[in-house]
Order: sequence, then structure tokens, then C-alpha cells
Amino acid sequence: METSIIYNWSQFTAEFTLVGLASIILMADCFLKKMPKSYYALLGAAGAIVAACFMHNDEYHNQFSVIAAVATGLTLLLAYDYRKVTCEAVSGTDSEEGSSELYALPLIACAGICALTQAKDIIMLFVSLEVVTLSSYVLAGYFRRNQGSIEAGVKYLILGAMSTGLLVFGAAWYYGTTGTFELSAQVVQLMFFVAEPAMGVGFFLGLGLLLCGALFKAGSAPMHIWIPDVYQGAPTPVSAFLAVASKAAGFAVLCLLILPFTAVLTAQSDIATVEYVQSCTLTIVQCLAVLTGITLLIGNLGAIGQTNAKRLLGYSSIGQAGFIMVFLVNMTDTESQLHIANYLTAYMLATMAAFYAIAMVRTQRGSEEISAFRALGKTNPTTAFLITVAFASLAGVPLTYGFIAKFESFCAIIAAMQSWGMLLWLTPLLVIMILCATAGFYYYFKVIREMYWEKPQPTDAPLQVPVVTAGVLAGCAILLVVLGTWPLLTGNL
Amino acid sequence: MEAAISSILFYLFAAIAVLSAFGVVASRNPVTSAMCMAVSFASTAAVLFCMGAQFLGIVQIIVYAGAILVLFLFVVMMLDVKSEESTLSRLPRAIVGVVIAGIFAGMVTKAALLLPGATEGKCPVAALCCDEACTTDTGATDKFGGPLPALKETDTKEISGTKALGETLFTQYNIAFVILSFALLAGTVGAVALGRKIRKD
Repeated sequence: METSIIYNWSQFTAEFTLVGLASIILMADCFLKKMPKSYYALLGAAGAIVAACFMHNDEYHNQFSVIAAVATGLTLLLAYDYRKVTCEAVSGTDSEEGSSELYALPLIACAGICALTQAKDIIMLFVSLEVVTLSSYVLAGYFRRNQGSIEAGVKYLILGAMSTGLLVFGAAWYYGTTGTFELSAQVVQLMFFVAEPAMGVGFFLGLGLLLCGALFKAGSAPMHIWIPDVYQGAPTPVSAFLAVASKAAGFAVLCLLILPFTAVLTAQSDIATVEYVQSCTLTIVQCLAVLTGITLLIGNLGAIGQTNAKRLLGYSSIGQAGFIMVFLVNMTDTESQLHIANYLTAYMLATMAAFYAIAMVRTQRGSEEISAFRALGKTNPTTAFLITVAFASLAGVPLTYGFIAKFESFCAIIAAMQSWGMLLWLTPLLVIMILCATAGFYYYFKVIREMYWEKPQPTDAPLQVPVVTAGVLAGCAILLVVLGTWPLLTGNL
Repeated sequence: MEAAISSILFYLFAAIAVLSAFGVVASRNPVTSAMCMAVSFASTAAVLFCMGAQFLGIVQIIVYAGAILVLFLFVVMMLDVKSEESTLSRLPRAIVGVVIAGIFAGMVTKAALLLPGATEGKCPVAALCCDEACTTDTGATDKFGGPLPALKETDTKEISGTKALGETLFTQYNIAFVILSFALLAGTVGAVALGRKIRKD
């Protein structure tokens, strides 16, 4: 199999534009001394949203890059509203000195994610994943005066380096057994039908190690260890970026690794070969099912005891990753990428709104604990309602988009049971999913309970909702409700 | 005979590289760690030479052993390194770590031994063969890919490894190479952002 040039320059226009914009911001930071640095956040956000629109319409990028670009735009808007805390944490004063990299680096990371979604071989996958990872290390530790942020940066660096190491080792095994870096159905086909069976062991070892690297980004077990500490310690906009854009990157890699098998599975015509391929891929499905179950349990049970809102969202992101991985367990589904993108969209709208709420409460009440949300229902009724919609969607309350997403996830597991029949493996997973969906109601509603059932303290003034935060909260809540009720009205689930 | 010596040298340098890499982690003294790392880099370069990738070997020495390691040592010397406190309390954790690492190493070894021809000292995949004899031996010819261009070209002695490497980098992997520069940009910006002098109030 002769490898050839499989990319062309024009398909990377969006990436180059994003990095160009980041360079412009860095240059402007050097030469335009009088310009308020927080304007760069608005410029970057505008650029990312335009890039998202552009990528939505071109033929090369898939849904993940659009999600990542929108998430980057929302991250930068959040960074704009969070500028007061940023200034304190970076320079120790009100001066904005040294805060502009926080607005440029997410754009570079976003370019990495967009390049990643177009990868067809491991080289491009690794290179663009490194762009994301390196920018994220810096972003996580950006608040140098804040102990938590430094801790987050160091922990992320060490664990991230380990996962990169596993990924590269996996790439070596992949190349060693197949002789190509290409990730395609053709390679899987050759592996199953032409190569000696003993080669398959090495191939699957390589694939497993590559999966470890992807699971690290997606935040699933067994590579989830970093999530709670890093989300809690990192600057809130960065936590939002890691929770949404970086997770989208992880699932893009998972799709790149798993979907070739789906293609081979669905391409077989006669029963004998179908059974043969099924027996080859059975191990992958079993592994994914076990990992999904563990991820769901760790995320949802871990979230129950949390009192810090960012840490809660960290565990919640592990739990949600579990629900997304269910789509990959249903390996015979050719449209799983679409379902994953749907789920990620629901997750993005709700999680972003939640992080905006946390940032707003942190800026004005100085705390990221769940108790800092106390009595928002009395002091700011409208905002409290919008935040309620976001958390209800994360929990999967009917009439929100989160419900539709979780519903699809349950459909996927039932479809998997029908097509694979591995009831011994998949029934426990279904039970775990039901348990975890229920647990979600408990811990997401802790925030809602705090807002409506707690009494305000005498010192609590109503929060001043910044314009950007108000707009994004309202937009996310409206989208969550509209997208959540529309399919019910049209009957088009 | 020539092949035998080159194999012996390959395994010798590979063993030194792994052992000294272990020394980097195991040593308590940062200077010893850094020196172990230098040995590891140098023997990795030697391994690359054995595989016929001279240019990569030289780059390995110049960039890693030459530039990066000197920087490491410089930082280690500048910092006031205190001796580490006793780590007896970490013993259970160390045992767990060793067990996990052992299982992983066993898994990898088992998979490597299962590869066709592995126990007879043959190269299981045509793609990894540097000489023709081994390609024809196993019959694993071109089911999958060919040798890496950087290795393939040095065999014929017509084009130098450097040229082959450059050609690969600037044709097939050109775009990936450019994307990689984004990572360098992010790294540079990050180093500036995190290393900037903090103003004392």
C-alpha cells in the first residue's frame, strides 16, 4: 500500500486563519499599548464563530470542528467577562498586563482540533493533537499567582505527557504491524483477511494504546484522573474549553480509531464473513463496554459528594463522556458520529451556560462553591431560571435538549443489544446507565436547590449580570428548550 | 558477520538506552539524572545509526544531547537542590506502580514474541526491514507498505538519508510539518507567558 499525499492546502484554510488571528492578537499586544487587552477576547471570539460558520459549510470539516470552534468562541467571550479575576491572578493588580496570551492560545488550540478532525493518518492526528495539548498545558497553569492553577498546570502536564507517550507507543505498534500510518477501513480489512492472525495481537495492542491517548482527551476511564483537579484549579474559561472543545477533540480521535471497524463490519455481505469480522471486533466492543461502565460509575458517583461547582462539573463531564461512549459501543451503527455530535452539542450548550454562571458568581461573590449560588432565585429570578434550564438539561429533564441526547444514548445501547446479543456484557451497562442517569438528577439539582430553597444572607446583593453572560445564558437556555421540544412536537425523534 | 556485529551493537546500545532511561527516573540526585539522560540520548543516537538513519542520529546528538540537555544541567545547577526526604511511606504506592508496569511490560513482550518470525530473529513486517534478505526471508513482502523512505533510500546508497528525510518531510508530510509549527508557536507563547517576571507589590 503506497502512501501518498492525502491532504491539500485548501482544506486547512480555517486552521491557518485561526492561527493567523492568534498571531495578530499577539502582535497587537506588543505594539498597541493603549488598546485594552480584553478587546482581543472579543476579536478572537468573533474570529472563532466566523470560522465555525465557514467550517459548517465546507466539505472537509466534520461536526466536531464546528463544535470546537463554537466552544472556543464561547470560551473567549467568557474570558472577556472574567477579565477582572484574570488581571488579579496574573499581574496582582488591576492592570491587564500579561493577560493577552489567554485570548490567543485558545485560537491556536482550536486550529489544532480542526486539523485533528480532518486527519486521515496517525501523523496528522498526533501533530494536531500536540497543538491542542501544548496550548492546554499553558492555559491550565495560566494564573501563576493562584496555587490551584499551578497545581492544575503541573498535573495536566505530567499526566498529559504520559498519555502522549502511550499514544506514540501505540502509533509505533500500529505502524510496526501494518506498515502504514493510515487510519482507514482498508487497513482494518487487510488486518482481518490478509495478515497472519498473530499480527492482530500487535495491531490490537497498538490500537489499545492509541485509544488510551484518545480517552485522556475525552476524559474517560481509565484516563480520567486529571479531570477533577485540573477543572477545579484551571482558570474558569480554560476549564470550559477543556470540558467542551478538548472533549470534542477526544471523541474525534475515538471516532477516527473506531469507525474504520464499523465500516468493515457493515460492508460485509455474506453471513460467514459477517460472523468472522464480528468475532474479530468482539473484544473491542467488550473493552469499550467495560470502560463505558467504569466511566459512568466514576463520573456520576464521584459527583455526588462534591461541594465545589467546578469540580462537580469535572465529574459531570466524566459521566457525560460515559453516555457518549455508549454510541461507540453500538459499533454497527454507521451514523454514530452524528449521534455523538448531537450529544456533544447538547452537552456544550448546557456546560457552557453552567461555566458562565460559575464565572459570574466567582467574580461577584468570590467563591466557586455550590453554596455561593444561594438564593439566586430570590435575588436574580430570571438568571436563576436560565441556570436551572442548563443544569436540568445536563441532568436530562424532559423538554430539554439533554433529555433527547440521553434518550438517543439509551436507544444506542438497546440497538447494540439487538445487533450483538452480548446480553451478559450489555445488560449490566444498561443498568449502570439507568442508575447514573438517576444519580445525575441528585447532584445537578443540588445547584438548583441551592438557588431556590436557601435563604439569602443579609450581605447578599443581587448579582450584576454582564451583557455577554446574559446573552449567552439566554441563548443557551432558549436553544436547549427549543431543540428539546421540537422533536417531540414533530414526532421526529 | 557484518550483519551479526551490527545486530549486536544495536541490541547493546538499545539496552544501554533503556537502562540509563531507568536511571533518570530512579536516581535521587538531579545531576545524576541529567547525566543518565545524556547517556540515554547518546545511545538512542547510536541505535539510529545502526538502523541507517545517520541524519536523525546526528540531529539527536546535536539537538537533544547538545542543546536541551545542557539547558537542563544549567537549570539544575542554578537551582538550589535540596536532598529529598525519605520515601519509605511511598512503598505501597511504589509496589502498585511496579506491579502495573510489570503487567504492561509482560503484555508488550508477549505481543512482541507472538509476531510471526519473532523468535527466529526475523523481521515480521516488511515495512521495518532495512535489508533485502530479511524481506524475502519472511515472505511478508508488500502486503502492507514498504520500508520507511528514510531507511529505504539509504540501502541503495544512491540518495543520502538526509535527502530522503527532507523529501518525505517536504512532500508527503509537508502539511503535518506546518501544523506542527503551530505547536511550536503555542509552546513559545506559553514559555513567554509563564516565564514572564512577576511584579513584586
